[in-house]
Amino acid sequence: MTQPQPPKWVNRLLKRTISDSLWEFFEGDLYEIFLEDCENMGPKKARRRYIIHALAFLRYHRLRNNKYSPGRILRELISGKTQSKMELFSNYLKVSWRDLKRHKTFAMINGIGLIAGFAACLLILQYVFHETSFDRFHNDFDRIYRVVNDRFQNGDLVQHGTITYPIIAPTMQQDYPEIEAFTRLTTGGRNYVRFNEQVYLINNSFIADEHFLSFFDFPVIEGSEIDLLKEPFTIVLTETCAERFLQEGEVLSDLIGKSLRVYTSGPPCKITAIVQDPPVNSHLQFETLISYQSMIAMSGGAADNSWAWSDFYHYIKVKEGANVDLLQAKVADFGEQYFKKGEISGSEEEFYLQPLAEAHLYSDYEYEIGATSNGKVVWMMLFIALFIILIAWVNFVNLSTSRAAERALEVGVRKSLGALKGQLFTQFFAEAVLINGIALIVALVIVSLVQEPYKQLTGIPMSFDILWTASVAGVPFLFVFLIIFIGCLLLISVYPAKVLSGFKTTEVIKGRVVNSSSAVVLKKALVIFQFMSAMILITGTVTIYRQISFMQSQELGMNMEHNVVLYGPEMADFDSLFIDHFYEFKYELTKLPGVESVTSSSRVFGQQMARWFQLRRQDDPEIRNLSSNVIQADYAFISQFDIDLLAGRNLIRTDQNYDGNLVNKLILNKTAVKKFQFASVQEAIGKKLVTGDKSWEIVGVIDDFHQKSLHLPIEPLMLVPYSSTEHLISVKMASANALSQNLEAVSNLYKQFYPGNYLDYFVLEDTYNGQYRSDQMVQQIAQVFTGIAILIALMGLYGLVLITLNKKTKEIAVRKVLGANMSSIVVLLGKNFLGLICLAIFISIPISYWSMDSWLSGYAYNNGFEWPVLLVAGAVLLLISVMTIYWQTKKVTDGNPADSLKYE
Amino acid sequence: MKRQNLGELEEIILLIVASLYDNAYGVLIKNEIEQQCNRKVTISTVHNVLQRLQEKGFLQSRHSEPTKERGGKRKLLFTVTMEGKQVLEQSRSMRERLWNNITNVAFGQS
Repeated sequence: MTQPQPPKWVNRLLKRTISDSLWEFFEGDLYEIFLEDCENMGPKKARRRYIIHALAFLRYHRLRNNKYSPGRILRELISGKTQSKMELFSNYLKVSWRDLKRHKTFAMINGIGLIAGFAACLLILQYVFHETSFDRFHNDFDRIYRVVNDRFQNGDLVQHGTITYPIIAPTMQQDYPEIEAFTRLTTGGRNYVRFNEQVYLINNSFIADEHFLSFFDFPVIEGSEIDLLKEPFTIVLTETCAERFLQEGEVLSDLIGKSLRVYTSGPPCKITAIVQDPPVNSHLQFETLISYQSMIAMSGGAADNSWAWSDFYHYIKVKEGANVDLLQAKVADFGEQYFKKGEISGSEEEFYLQPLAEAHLYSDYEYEIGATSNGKVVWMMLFIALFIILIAWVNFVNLSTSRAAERALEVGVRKSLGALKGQLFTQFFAEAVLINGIALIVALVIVSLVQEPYKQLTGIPMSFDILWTASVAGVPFLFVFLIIFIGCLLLISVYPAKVLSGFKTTEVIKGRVVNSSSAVVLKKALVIFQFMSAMILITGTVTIYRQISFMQSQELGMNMEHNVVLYGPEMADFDSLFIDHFYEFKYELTKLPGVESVTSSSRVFGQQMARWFQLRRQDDPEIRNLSSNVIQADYAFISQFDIDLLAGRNLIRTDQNYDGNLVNKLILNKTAVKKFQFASVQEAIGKKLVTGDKSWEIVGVIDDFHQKSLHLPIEPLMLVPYSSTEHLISVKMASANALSQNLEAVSNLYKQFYPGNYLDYFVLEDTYNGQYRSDQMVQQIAQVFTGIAILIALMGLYGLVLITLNKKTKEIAVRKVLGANMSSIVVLLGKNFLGLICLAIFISIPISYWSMDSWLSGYAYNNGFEWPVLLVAGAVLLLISVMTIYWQTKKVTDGNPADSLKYE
Repeated sequence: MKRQNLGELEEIILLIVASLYDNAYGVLIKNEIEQQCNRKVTISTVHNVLQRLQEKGFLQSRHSEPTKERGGKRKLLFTVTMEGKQVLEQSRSMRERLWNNITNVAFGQS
């Protein structure tokens, strides 16, 4: 392994600033400390400390190179050559402060805009940093890849998934020398475990192999670290999970060696270690890890070496310095080599390596192991943040330049006293520093105050601290932010200074100032930019809103109202009496007032379904390699959810059987009928489908319904009348009220029929609508920030109108005296601004269209881009702009013209 | 004109340099301060004080040979000068004089 190295950019920076004769020794000392830190706290933290220690050298002028100290450069920039000129800078600050106090309106416009801008930026950056920080805590983050898999049948992509066959990663490691290590796992789902005579619910358990804990960095806090998860029936708990098992007075280490009963058959699982909870920014979230060997012991060798059973996630780690492109190319041939065009698994298989960096943000795979986010949304948010802060800064530039006339006197006096151009620049820089600095501090306070509500709104466990610890391309974010901040302040001060210093001193003192034409053009361009941004944001927000309401108003092809779903009695035994027992339970339930119907099924709406791959038609051997989603359900499923039966018959009680081999009837949906190439729905009835050596009779065809959200298209589906203890029990109530009234009676019956089981339930509609939660979150955040952006842009417009009015007070008075009416004056003043705004709206159209079109393409069912949205957004923007101008002008014109004319 | 009095950290570092005779350099001095005085200092602070002491004439420095452990960088080694020794002695005798002036009663222990 190569030695970790301290960040080079720091060394380069310091080499230039620290005294040449001393730097070598300092660098040596820093390096020694770095090596020691590496050993004590790992390279990541050591690197961070190196930066802090190194930058701390800059504090001491004694250690700096006299010629190029950053402080000195800054000082020279600010005040010219000597230190005494610092006093001048404080004078600038003083004058700026007085100016702000005198012109409270402008101070407010700038200040509020900047505060809102910074606050919005900081909030959005937190979100962006949180989303982009996923999985980076693993030391070998850059070298870890996930094996993902596409399956094709008859030329169609039928599965685009993260799960694949258990034999894949071991085979790859054998074949490809680039692979250093692998780990495989599968999800154990919800588990009820027994410990000390009590039942506990574990929501999220993984069945992971013995490499898992050394492959990833989930630190072990109790128990030995050697050979974890190697033995069958061993289990590792996370800290939070373990704490639930503690008795009064026990500590975590007391749990080691004790046993939990996870499976009803087989021996109990021995607790061998406790690990830290996975960080919130890990895409792998688990409460327990059960050893992979337990699964092999229970399900046989197939869990180890099957080429057909695909429920397994694989991660591989490439060797340091390995050629990943080459490996990707080899992996691309893997499917061809081992799956022989569909002969092995019924599909043509393609494999890819997905970098761990993409697992959370840029993954569009099915059967995801954890929650994913949309990378596009993250970028979109970043752009909103950028727009907002730019709009606020544009206000600053425009208002400063436009107020040039007012400031001109002061500038003229300074110039006549011998001020240089550079000093004028400094004056504006001081002003920028003052107002931006105050705004930034206020924004920080606001952000820390709204932290909690913001977290609740987004539902994302972010923390404020991420702003201090985040880094951009290896450089700490704070440093980047400061550089950008100061850079932008310099930029926005250069321009007003240039405009002002261009005035002739004598003219200025007389009070005659005419802005140069280039200055006017730039001002217009900036206004156009502001309103274009506002327009894009409005269109975006409205489109997102329309899409979400479109999805929620769609016919789903089924009705899931007032259903409460109970988890199945997993601890019960599945025996010949189980199905009859369930029907007795169902009978008792339907006797309750308000309960209409009960059905049991393997999945309910909104959940990912299982897939069968190796289906073929019995009547036509040419039609083979078919796949379909599967829901196991009883006969009440169709009627309870109002699904239309198009042909044939419903399932009946006798289609179900305790002996799975005797279950051989099924129902298809319309899409499956089409995919399986039946001429019509009637034609499919009575035909047989074959999987392996078993044939199934198609007894009915149902209409399509949206099993999942409208992000996804409808796929082939089969209803199969299998039964299981794990099936979800949906109870349909007559009304929403009946739901809460009956819960107790339902749970009593449940306990009576299935003693020893743990009752847990959810409301079906909530779960289904939960699929749109991230869309709604994006919409809400976008709404708030768009509002802020529009507000800032309008405040800028207001300020500009105010300045124009101030300059033209007399003109207006004269016009009024000569008989002009109010509206003609408003038109006269407003037409320039409104022209600009119209132009901005026009420019925004293609940009809005392009960005929204690509966003909508992420939905299988979308509304398309609605042009009226542009019209409405443009009209709204124009209307509020006109109102701003009108209201402002009215205030001036309402006055007595004599008052304005009196003073010469 | 040189200031002749010593700051606290200056005094500590001067004493440590003396105690590390011939081996005193940045990291070692820093570690020594952390262990002996139980206080955290950054390496930059140590170097700043070392330079100040050198300017005052209490320390002199020389370069070591480059070593591999430090990424091929040389060490800057310090030794105490005669003036340094004098100022330490002055400080010590001043403190002892002051201590001698104190009676036990002053600490309320009778």
